[in-house]
Amino acid sequence: MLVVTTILPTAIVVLPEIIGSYAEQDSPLAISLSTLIGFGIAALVGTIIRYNNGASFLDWIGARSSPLLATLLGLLLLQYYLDTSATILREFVNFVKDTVLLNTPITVMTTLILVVTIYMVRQGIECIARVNSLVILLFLFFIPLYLFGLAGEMNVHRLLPIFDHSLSTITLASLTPTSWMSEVAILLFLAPYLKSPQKARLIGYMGLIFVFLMMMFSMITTMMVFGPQYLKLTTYPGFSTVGIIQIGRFVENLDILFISYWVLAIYLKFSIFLFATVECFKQTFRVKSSRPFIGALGLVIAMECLFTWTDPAKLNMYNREGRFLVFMVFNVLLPLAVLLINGRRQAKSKRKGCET
Amino acid sequence: MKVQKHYVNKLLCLLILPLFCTLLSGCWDDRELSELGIASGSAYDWEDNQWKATYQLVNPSSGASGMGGGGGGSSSSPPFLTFTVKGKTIMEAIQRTNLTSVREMFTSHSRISILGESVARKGVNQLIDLFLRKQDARDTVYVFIAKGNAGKILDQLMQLTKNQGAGIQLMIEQESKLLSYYPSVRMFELAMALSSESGSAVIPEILLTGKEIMDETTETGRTDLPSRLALGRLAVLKGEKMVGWLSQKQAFGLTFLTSKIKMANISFATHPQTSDKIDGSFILQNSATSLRPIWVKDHYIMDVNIKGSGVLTEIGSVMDLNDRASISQMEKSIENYVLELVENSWQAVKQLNADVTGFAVKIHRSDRKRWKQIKKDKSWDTVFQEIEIRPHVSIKIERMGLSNKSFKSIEQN
Repeated sequence: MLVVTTILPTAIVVLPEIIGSYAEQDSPLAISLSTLIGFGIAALVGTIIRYNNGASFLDWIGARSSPLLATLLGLLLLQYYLDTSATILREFVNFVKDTVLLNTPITVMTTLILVVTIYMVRQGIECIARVNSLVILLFLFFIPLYLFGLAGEMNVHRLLPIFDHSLSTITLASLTPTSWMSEVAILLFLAPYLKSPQKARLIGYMGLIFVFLMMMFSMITTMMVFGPQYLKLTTYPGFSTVGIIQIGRFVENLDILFISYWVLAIYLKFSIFLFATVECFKQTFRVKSSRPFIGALGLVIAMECLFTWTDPAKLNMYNREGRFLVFMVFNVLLPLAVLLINGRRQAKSKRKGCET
Repeated sequence: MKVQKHYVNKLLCLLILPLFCTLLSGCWDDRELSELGIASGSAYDWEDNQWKATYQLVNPSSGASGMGGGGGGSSSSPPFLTFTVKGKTIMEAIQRTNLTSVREMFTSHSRISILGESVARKGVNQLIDLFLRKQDARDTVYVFIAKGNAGKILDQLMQLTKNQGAGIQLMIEQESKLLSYYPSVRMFELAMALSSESGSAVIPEILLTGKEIMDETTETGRTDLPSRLALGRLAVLKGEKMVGWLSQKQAFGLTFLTSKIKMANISFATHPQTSDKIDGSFILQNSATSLRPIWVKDHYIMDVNIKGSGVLTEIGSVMDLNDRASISQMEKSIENYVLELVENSWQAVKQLNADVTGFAVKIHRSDRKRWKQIKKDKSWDTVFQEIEIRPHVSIKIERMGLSNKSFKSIEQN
C-alpha cells in the first residue's frame, strides 16, 4: 500500500489534465499503456531486490562492484530524491494555496508541512505504513459518497468515441503517467524493511494495479461528468467533479471534505519520499543513525521548493516534458544498468568457477 | 521514576495540544462569519463599456415575516440587500463593493447568476473564465438571462421564501423536474456546452411579470403581487455570443430533441378527427430520445426516435377508456403534438444556425472519420444547415387515472 501512496496522491491531481489534453476520451488507453510499462519497471526493481535479498541497495552495489561506484550512484540518487521531494512539496503547497489558503505565505505552509513530515519520518517507516493503511481504508467511505453524489451527473456517452486518437498521440499522453508509475522504484530503498523481500515484484504489481484502478476510476468518472473538452479547461478536474456533488438540499460543496482527505494522503506521500531521501543519504555516506540529518535534508528540500519551483508554469512544464526523462534515467536505466553489471559479474564468476 | 516521567510527559502533551489549536485558525486566511457578506445571487450587465455587477447579500438582521421561514430580527429590514458596482473588469467591480459594503463579499454560497442581454450579446467567455478560475466562485450557480437590466431582477422580493437566490434556484429545479420546457443550466454546464463540438448553448430567461419592482418588505404582504419573477423564453448562444431566442414551445421541442424531458404535461385534442379542440391532458412521466445520424449522398439525415409513456389526467370529451381504439386515438394525437413541437423547434434552431441540439457531438461519436473531415474543413455550419431530421414518436398511455370513463360521457347517459 506504500507503493499506492507513493504514486497516487499527486498523480490524481496532476495527471488528468495532462493526459486529457493529449488523449481526450482515449485517456483510459493512455493510463493502461503507462501501467503496462510500470509493470516492466516493477519487474526490474523486484528482480534487483530478489538478488540482493532485501539488503540496502547502495551497500549491495558497493559490495558487488566498488564502494566508489556506490557512492557516486548514491550522490546521483540523492539528488534525484531531493528534487522529487521538492516537487512533491511544491505541488502540495500550490494545490493548498490554489484551493484553500489563498493568503497564507508559501513559506509558512512549507514550514508547517515540513515539520509534520519530519515528525512522521522520525517515527519510522512502520508507523508511516500503519497510518497509510488507515488512510487507504478511508476510500471505503469516500468512493461510495463520490459515486452516489455524482450518479445523476454521469453520462456514459461522454466517453465516446473510443480510439479517436492515433497510437502516437496515446503514447505521447502515456509518457507523463509512465514517469509516475516508475515511482514504484522507491521499493529499492524500502526493501530492507520488507517482511518478504522475495515478494517485492508482487508488491510492486499489486501497488500498480491499485493505482491503475484508482486512476481509471477518477479519469472515467470525471469524463462521464464533464466530458473530454471541459476536462482540459480545469487545473484540478478531480476536485471540480467533487465540487458539483449535491445530495438533497443539505449536502453540497463537498470539495473541502475531499481536499482534506487528499491532504492526508499527500502528507504520507511526502513522508515516504523524505524517508527514501534519508535512506539514500544514510547509505551513500554510510551514516549509522540518520535521525540528526532528517531536519537538514528537509531544509534542503524546503529551500529547493521555495526557490527553484517558484513559477507554477515551470513546474507544469517539468511535469509535462522533463519529468519523463529524469524518472526514466533514475528509475529505469540506473536499476537496469545495476542489474546488467550484476548479471555480468555473476556470469564471470561462474565462468571462473568452471575454469578452476 | 521513569514511569512518573512518562506520565508527566503525557500530561504536558495533553496541556500543549489545545495550544496547538490556536494555530488551526486558518493562518492568514481566517475569516469571521460576522465580517462576511454572503452573496446569494449575482447579476452582470454591460453598460457604457464597463461591467456592471449587482450582488445580492443575505441580510442577517432581517426577520421579514410573510415571506416564509422564521427568525427574529427586525421585520422592516429586507431579507437581502443589493449592491451595484461598475468596473473595467468583473473583478474590479467585485472589489469595488468594498467601497460601499461593511462586509467582505463571500460568493461560495451563491445560487444564481443572471446575465443581462447586453452581456450575452457581447460575449460570456470572460464571465465563465472568472467562475472557473476564482477560488470562491461556484461553477454550480444556475445561469439565467434577463432582457434589459439584469441587476433589477435581484431587487425583487419573493413570497414564500426569504432568500431570493435560493428561491429562483427552486423555481428552475421545479420547472425542469415537472414541466421540462427547458433544462436548468449551471455555469459548468454552460461552459461544457460552449466548449463541446457543437459550440452552442442555451440559457433560460428570467423576467418580471409586471412593470413594478417589489423591493419593499411591506409590499409582499399582499396575496397577489402585481409583479412576480417568472421564467420566460430560452436564449440561444453560439460561440460566446447570444444569437436569438426560442419561445417556450420551441424550447419544449428542443428538450424532446435533446432527451432532457423529466416530466411534462401535454395538452392535446382527444378527438383530432372531428375537432381541433384541446380538451385532454397527459402527464409524460418517462421519455427518451435516441438520435442516429445517417449520411445520405451529401448530407446527414438525423433519425430521431422519441419514446415516452405516462398517465392521462384530464378529458373534456365523451370517451370510454375501456375501448382500446379511443386510447390509440389519443396516443396518436399526443404523438402528433410532439412531432409538431419537434419540427417547429428544429426550424427555429436551424434559422438561428446554432447547434443547440448537440448533433455535432452525436456525429463525432458515431461517424468520427467524417467528423474529422468536417472539423478540418471548418464546414460544420454548412453541414448543420443541410441536416434533415426524421422524427418518429411513440407515446404510450400507461394508466388512465382513477376513472374509466370521462365525466362528460356519464353526464350524457
